[in-house]
Amino acid sequence: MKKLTALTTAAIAAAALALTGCGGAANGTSSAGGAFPKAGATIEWVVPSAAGAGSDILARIVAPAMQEDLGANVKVVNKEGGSQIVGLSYVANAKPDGLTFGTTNVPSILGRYLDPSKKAGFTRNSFTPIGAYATNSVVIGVNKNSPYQDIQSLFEAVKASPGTIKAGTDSRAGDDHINLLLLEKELGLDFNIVHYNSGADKVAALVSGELDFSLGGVSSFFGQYKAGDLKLLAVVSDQPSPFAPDVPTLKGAGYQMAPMSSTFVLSVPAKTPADVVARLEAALKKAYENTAVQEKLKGAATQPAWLSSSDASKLWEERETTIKPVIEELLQQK
Amino acid sequence: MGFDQLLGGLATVLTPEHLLFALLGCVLGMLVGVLPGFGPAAAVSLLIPVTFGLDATSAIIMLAAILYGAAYGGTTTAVLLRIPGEASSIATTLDGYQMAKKGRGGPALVIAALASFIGGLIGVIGFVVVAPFSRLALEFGAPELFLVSLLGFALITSFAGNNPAKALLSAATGLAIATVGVDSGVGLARFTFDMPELFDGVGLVAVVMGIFGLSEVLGQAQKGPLGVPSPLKVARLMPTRTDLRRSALPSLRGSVIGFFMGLLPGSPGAATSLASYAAEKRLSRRSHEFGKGAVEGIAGPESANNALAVSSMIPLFTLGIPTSATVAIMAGAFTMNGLIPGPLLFRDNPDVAWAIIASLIVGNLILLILNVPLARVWIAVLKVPFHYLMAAILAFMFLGTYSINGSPFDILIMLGAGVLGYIFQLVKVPLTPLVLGLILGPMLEENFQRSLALSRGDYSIFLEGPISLTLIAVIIIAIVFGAVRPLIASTLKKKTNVPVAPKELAK
Repeated sequence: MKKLTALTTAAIAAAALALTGCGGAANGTSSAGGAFPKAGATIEWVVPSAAGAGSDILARIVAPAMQEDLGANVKVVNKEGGSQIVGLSYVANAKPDGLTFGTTNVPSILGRYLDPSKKAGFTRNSFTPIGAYATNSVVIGVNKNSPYQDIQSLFEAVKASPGTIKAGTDSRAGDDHINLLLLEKELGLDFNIVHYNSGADKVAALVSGELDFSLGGVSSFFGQYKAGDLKLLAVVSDQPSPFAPDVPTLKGAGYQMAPMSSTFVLSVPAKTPADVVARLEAALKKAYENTAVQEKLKGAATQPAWLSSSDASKLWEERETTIKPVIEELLQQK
Repeated sequence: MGFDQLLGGLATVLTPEHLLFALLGCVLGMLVGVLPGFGPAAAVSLLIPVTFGLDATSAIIMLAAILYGAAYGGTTTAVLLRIPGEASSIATTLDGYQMAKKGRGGPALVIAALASFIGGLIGVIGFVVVAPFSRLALEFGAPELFLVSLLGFALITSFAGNNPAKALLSAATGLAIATVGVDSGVGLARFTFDMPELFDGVGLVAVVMGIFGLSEVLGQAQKGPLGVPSPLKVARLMPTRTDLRRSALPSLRGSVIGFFMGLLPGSPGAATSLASYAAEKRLSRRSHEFGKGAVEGIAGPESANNALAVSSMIPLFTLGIPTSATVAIMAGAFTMNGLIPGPLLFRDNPDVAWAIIASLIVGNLILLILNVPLARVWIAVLKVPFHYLMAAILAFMFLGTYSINGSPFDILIMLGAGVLGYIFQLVKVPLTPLVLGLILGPMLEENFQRSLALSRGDYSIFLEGPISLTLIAVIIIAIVFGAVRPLIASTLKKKTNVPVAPKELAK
């Protein structure tokens, strides 16, 4: 009896909506519990790193524009710890009602769950991407006084004395590390990989000359590159980076290497209803299209770039296929 | 770069608008920081949204003001309640709380405010002088930082009290706790029990809060059943002339120590303020008063702390490299406002850069002006009967610990550390060496691993360069004077006075 009443109510509500034309299906209004989000609701945007960190800043740039479109509070919440696993698990295990989503940076997140020792408790299937709004190209940089003033001479030196050229990462098993391993594997190189505690420590070591070269997102080298303390030798991408237009691509320099970049994907828990995902996707797209947001992202040396929910899923899957063997190899070294 | 630009910056800051934001930042930061358990990190993550929508200069001035406002708030709780808002206020708890217990909380707070101001002022002057040479700080690479952290262990002797064995036990406990987590060199998980919360190690602030704050609450509770503990006495508010005289030199020395330590990459504020404390204790003619309410023990560390806060921004401004978590927040604020921290800042936006540097002086002055009268208000907290006060403190400590990472796990860490701290206090084991071990352990280990990774296993990397050799010489001197000499002295004493040992046991 109760069920029947509920059904009738839903049917009447649906009919009413259809009749009045409210909520337009194009907007992806939820049919189950009224419009998503409820006016004045609070949506948590979980950033798995500390306040003031790179991805936190980007979130705080985009969140206000999403908030405006959704008509609900979008609150950036920092859940730091466990090399991002704490925050990511929180998103994966949140109630799938669209009121919790998080930054699931691809490929960073891969290193978290593909390594079983990290006990991540989530996989790619725990999340549904709502889209991506920016990318950060990966570049290779050296000290301005480095003897290697182009990528060829650097890689020749690596080949001449394998295992001695010092390359820094921002953390063990993080993006930089995995990307260096990919380079080694694809191009038959052997570096002396040294781990630092953060991107800033790595850049400091490069500026002081402690390291021979380093690889990382263009935004992490941008200040020093602009100031002339660092020289960028190559962009690991098919197109030059708009932030360093004169720097050749690795492909252009004659090295066959799939593009590396980090993509700022946002995801909700996997079981979130499709219409809620679509509503969040629309809000993210609107925020991405906002010129003020784009300017601010560029100011942070991050390239605004749109990926729809399905494109972001595809990208995630592809990167997982490439990176999985590298991580498995890394685990065997242990 | 020079003082004329600094004056130009001052002129920019001294407009009503910028002054307002500096004041607002100081007040908001202080209000959050003064809650027991809430430190600068919590204040910033709570208040970052407030700085949105402001122009770049105002936003960064306000954020900087929030940071040092919160740090000062943390000092207040360190003095009055023995709860450091962050690890760098630990040194202040040692004598500040003892002064408060004797009814001299007012002078302690005012001296802390004065010393902080001097530290900030000297920090900014040093900023202008040293900034062109700041690249030299990068000469401290992994091997040098390893030696610096090794030298840091020499500090333990200064906090040993009269029982070095107990101090070593405490430091070893700290080192043991520091091993928890995934090691950064080879990715080995140590004592993590497969809990992601432990992968990055045990949170320093949670431990500090438990070991100092909670253990004190437990200690007070233990006295409870014997009668309601009475509120602390509140005697005079302003420091005496003697207090001021005794604080002058320590403030200057502390500023210098803090300033130079702040230039080093990743130099921890807690170890620096403790180093200043140790220096004052060694230099003072009244070293027996330390730990019982010596005003020098507040002036030194507080000025060191603030000078460090300023000088640690130098690498950010001149090289674009944030060398600590707090400075990384500032770096974030620059990026968020479309500014690139680094040498370009002085070329492209010199007005903004100098305004921010000048605002550090103005902000510290605002804090000083606010806090002399406010000390009366803070002190009034102590008039609340302790059993009510402690209950409120406990609640805030739970909230504050949770607010660090939004993680209930940190609360468990805080509780565990509190129990440990309480037991240590019962058996009279000093707590400071534990924190030193906890801070220096990871620094020591990571830089050791990193050095050997850089040299591919060659130990001679530690002997290269004048900085390393100097540091090694200083370490040898420290060991000889700190450990070998007292050992010889005590053996000589034992020869003349045999029944020392049984007496010790009887205690």
